[in-house]
Amino acid sequence: MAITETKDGIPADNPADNPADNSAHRADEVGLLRRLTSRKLSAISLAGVGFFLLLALVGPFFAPFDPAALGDEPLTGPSAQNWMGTDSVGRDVFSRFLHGSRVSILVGFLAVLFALVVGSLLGMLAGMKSGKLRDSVIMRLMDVILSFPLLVLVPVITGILAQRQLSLGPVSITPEVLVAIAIGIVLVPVFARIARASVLAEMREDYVTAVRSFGGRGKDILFRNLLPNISAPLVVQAAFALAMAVSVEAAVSFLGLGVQPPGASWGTLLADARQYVTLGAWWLVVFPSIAIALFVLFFNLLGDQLRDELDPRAKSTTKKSKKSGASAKGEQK
Amino acid sequence: MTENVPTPAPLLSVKDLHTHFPVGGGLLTKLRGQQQIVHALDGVSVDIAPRQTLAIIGESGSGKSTMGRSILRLEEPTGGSVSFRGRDITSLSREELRRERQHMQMVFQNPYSSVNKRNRLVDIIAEPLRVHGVGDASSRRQRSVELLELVGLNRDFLHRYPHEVSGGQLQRVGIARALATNPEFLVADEPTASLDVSVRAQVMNLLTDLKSELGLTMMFISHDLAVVSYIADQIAVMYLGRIVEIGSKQQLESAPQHPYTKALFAAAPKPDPRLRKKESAPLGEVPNAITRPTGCFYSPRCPLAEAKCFTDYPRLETKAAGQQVACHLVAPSPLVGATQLPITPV
Repeated sequence: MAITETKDGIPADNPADNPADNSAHRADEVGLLRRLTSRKLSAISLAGVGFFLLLALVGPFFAPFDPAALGDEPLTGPSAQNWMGTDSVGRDVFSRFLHGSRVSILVGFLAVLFALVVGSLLGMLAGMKSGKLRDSVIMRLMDVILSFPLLVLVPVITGILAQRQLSLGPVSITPEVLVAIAIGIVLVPVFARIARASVLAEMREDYVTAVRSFGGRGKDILFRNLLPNISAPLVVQAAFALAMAVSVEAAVSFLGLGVQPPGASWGTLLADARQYVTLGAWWLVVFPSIAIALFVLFFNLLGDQLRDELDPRAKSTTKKSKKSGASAKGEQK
Repeated sequence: MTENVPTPAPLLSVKDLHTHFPVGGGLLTKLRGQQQIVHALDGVSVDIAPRQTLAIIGESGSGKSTMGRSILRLEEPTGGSVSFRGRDITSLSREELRRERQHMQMVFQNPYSSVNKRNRLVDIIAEPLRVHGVGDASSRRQRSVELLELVGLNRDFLHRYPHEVSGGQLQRVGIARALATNPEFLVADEPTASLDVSVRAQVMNLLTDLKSELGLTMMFISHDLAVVSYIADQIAVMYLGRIVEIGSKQQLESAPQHPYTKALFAAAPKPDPRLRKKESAPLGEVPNAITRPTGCFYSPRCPLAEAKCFTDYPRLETKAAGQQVACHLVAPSPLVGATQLPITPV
């Protein structure tokens, strides 16, 4: 082959001979979890998030009583037998809390999953055709959703969905899933806007043109090329959205428009407690409230930390921004 | 292009290609019909014979990149036709065009921005094969190794990421990707402009080797005359979206006719001080592509401009065998006589 001679010229411009460089990217990927745990704040948030995930997964198995079983002693304070006391009809609050946590957290995750998938897809489709009809239609639709107050839209959507006996094949959709979808719909615009903005920036890069130039289809551009490059801000937003989804679920259920009794969630636990707080039954309010507050806190913390690690453009601390400024200068060359 | 010299049927034939971009203005200006338009490409015709390399040169904003992109329909041309292998590219349906893209590929200026940073080199090179459903994963991988070796890299590079290799190496990967589907035609849009001078020569060597080895037909876009004279068979000089002079490399280098071509070649640095000419460099900047000068677009900067130059745009006329010039001041060659090919309508 005539060109083999050019091989000899390569080592001259070969920074990758340095083995440290070779493994740099792999270290990036593996290192995310390590870097998150190495910082105190992110370690705390990770631990908190892990605790809640565990609570949702295995919590109900540790419930000492049937959460719906009525007891003989209503409104007793925390004791060795009833760790979080009993409610107005004598049900064990601890058992109800464990079951309710699973519902609340599951609803949150489902809602964010829905919003992440639908929102990102819509946003990317809009961003690929910026300024065109498709873009306008999608983004105006997002504006419509955003123009409603959260606490109005979620119950309305839940109500509309609940009217029809929805089912996915043999699986009938439970009221909890309905609430999750309703919250998910409300969160869609957040992800759509982020995805669209990120895609707009990426579309200017040559690699998108390159995919078109060798005959890539829309789906090749969308899923193989754009999605991996815009995933960081979406993941960050997902963490914040989880905190939001859980607090919205609690608020809607508290109003009696979300998860319906006798099903338990953090919101319905609070709703049940409302009448008895003035009678001094503090234990009915304190535990779900703390759970909601901590959940929101931990996921917001995690979102902040993820943003610092994944999304250098949005870095907040001065030390970090100086670093990213230097690398930006390097890229211009 | 040339009636006098018998040439094989062109692989690519561009006829009166226009690409206009609307710029600025909101709804109101659109409604008033005051939309401004950039004539990025304004009636360009050119043929490229098989295995020939046409270099497009010109200043920034002369429309040379737009030309490459319009021919591949990466920009949608607003008029004219591009015939490639006997088919009119501009009238293909989306799926037909997608299929046809296997035969015409592009090498980009900046290797780092033209690849997906998150893919390994093997995925980058094999992606054209994947989107066209060529072979299975292992055969595509095998082909990637072949391609890497073809561009002078070895299989150790397969699993590296773009940021782990140098610019010159990544540009080789870009070339390998462009060659993956065995295209006949390659548009190289300033493939060496963003590389170090030392690496530039390697990549140019690679391109010339590949050209002869694979029988590639190329359109080579550049503003670097030294690079162009290394690889080109023919050279077209563009100015504000039009070709002002086109001819063989020898013709343009030894006897440039258009004042702009002369100025360009005079401005190019030459290694031999005895070759330095006392030619005037182009005056001032390239005019605005939205509000272009009347008459010859080059007239405001041309040291030789006459009254006619400020009123009429000169037609692209044959001045010598295979050499066409758009200038009022260049007399037609007596050899060719009255053979005037009205290729660029004014």
